Amino acid sequence: MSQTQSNASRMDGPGYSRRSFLRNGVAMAGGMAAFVAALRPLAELGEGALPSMDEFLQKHYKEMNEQEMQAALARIEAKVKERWDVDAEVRDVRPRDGVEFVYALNLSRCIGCRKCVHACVAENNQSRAPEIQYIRVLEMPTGTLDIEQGDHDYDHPTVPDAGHYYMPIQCHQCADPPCTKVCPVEATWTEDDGITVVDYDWCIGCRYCEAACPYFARRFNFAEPEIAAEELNTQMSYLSNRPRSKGVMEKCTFCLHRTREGRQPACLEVCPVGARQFGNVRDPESSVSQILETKRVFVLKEDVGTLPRFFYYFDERYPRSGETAVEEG
Amino acid sequence: MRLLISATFFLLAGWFLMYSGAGALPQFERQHVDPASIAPVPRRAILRDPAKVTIGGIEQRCSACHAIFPSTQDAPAARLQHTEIVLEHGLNDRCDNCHDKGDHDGFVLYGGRVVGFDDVQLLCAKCHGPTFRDWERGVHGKTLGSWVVGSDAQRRLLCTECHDPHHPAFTPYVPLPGPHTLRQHATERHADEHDHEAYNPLRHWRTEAEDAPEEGAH
Repeated sequence: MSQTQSNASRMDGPGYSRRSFLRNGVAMAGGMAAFVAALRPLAELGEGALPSMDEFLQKHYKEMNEQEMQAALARIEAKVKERWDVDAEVRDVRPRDGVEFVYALNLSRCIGCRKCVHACVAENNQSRAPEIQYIRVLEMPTGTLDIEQGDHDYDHPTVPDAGHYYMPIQCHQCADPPCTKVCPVEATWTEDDGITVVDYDWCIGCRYCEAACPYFARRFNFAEPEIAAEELNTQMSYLSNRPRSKGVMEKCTFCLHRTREGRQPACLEVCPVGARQFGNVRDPESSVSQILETKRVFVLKEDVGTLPRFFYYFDERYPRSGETAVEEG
Repeated sequence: MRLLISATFFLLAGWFLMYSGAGALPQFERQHVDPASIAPVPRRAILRDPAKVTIGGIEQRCSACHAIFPSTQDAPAARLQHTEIVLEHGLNDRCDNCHDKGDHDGFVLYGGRVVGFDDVQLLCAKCHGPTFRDWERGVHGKTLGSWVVGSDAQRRLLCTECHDPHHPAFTPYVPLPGPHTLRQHATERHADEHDHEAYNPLRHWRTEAEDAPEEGAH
């Protein structure tokens, strides 16, 4: 605009001509209108959309002391009460000493019923519309491990479908996770028991971690999560299933609010065929240690070097009476 | 030149004015999942010791009836009682292969030893050795309650809590709803089989689906 102005002043002396005044005036009005329009979304923020001063000043999870953590938990409980009129218990569950969690999934058993998917949604207070699912069950053609050929949208009347096997994928809780390295604000990290967590209050929603994850295990809240009050799981923890807000990442945490207290993950308990095994890999008697020792085990995308704590395994399968052996080759 | 700049400026200003502001996010229908279908319970309720069944409206120990009525050793088709049982266990199609002839409250192992219903895994182990070995290690089967080995809360399910011993093959399940987020839209393969638009979450952003060319699968 300085070009226009200097031209105008050169032509018309020190004052404004009628023409340049009108032109600049209209331009100013247009510019202001555009500016205001750009800011309009701020005015449309509902009540409670902006954080309170306490929330704004809340520290990173690792930097909070006991008092600050208690205050933060109480704040979350109050927000749940305000939004859903439900009394929730929000806790901060810490890792146990000498425990490293490992998950093992038996591909010979999984039938693709997706009960794990929805037990997870119910347990972890994911948004229902659009529904966020941590577990993705791939339907794979028999005889290949090429996940490019997998399909997660299958909807047969019944499962398992002949000629397919099923491969559920969720967060692999890698020992060398790419997702935590790319986070610009250190809102996600790996805990001592091997679980990679997100501080939802620290996440800025840049989605770098989603792009970095080779397993597509992270989910982004594009919309304000929608959960009915009666569906809310009131047993919450800071790092896992407390309600998230729009614009933050979330992921499977091996149900840390359950598993750090010795319970099983929700996806395991609902599995109707016992395809899922979970436990402490540092205990040689645990089922996962036994699986690693005695079964044929593989990890997904071993070549990317993420060192997952999620293993797939097979059973030996001999032909039953009346069956013919599957031809090798 | 100046005209071009100012025209562009006004056009841009007008465009911002018209089209900025919070765009409407697509609305999604909720997927309904019956809470009963995701209850963490064993597949089957089983008989525990002492085993009792209700026949003719009377709950009885197995041995109480069979003290009077001898069990048949013929093929299952000849059964007069227990007709609700569908016996499809491969070659294993005789009652006495598992149920003890003498002690009807238990199962028969090799050598004639009898175990109760609470130790049914020993019976299954007679034939399913590798699976029993895996079960003992915690590799096969399902553990409810706790992952802590030896914890009181830990409950290892018995064979029959998942498998029907008379009909061990699992019945098929109706799969629960699949992915339902923005990015996880249906793959192209479905376009041939179904109405693709019904699957595509981006359909909410389209005014005329016919005009918009279909994007690739990814």
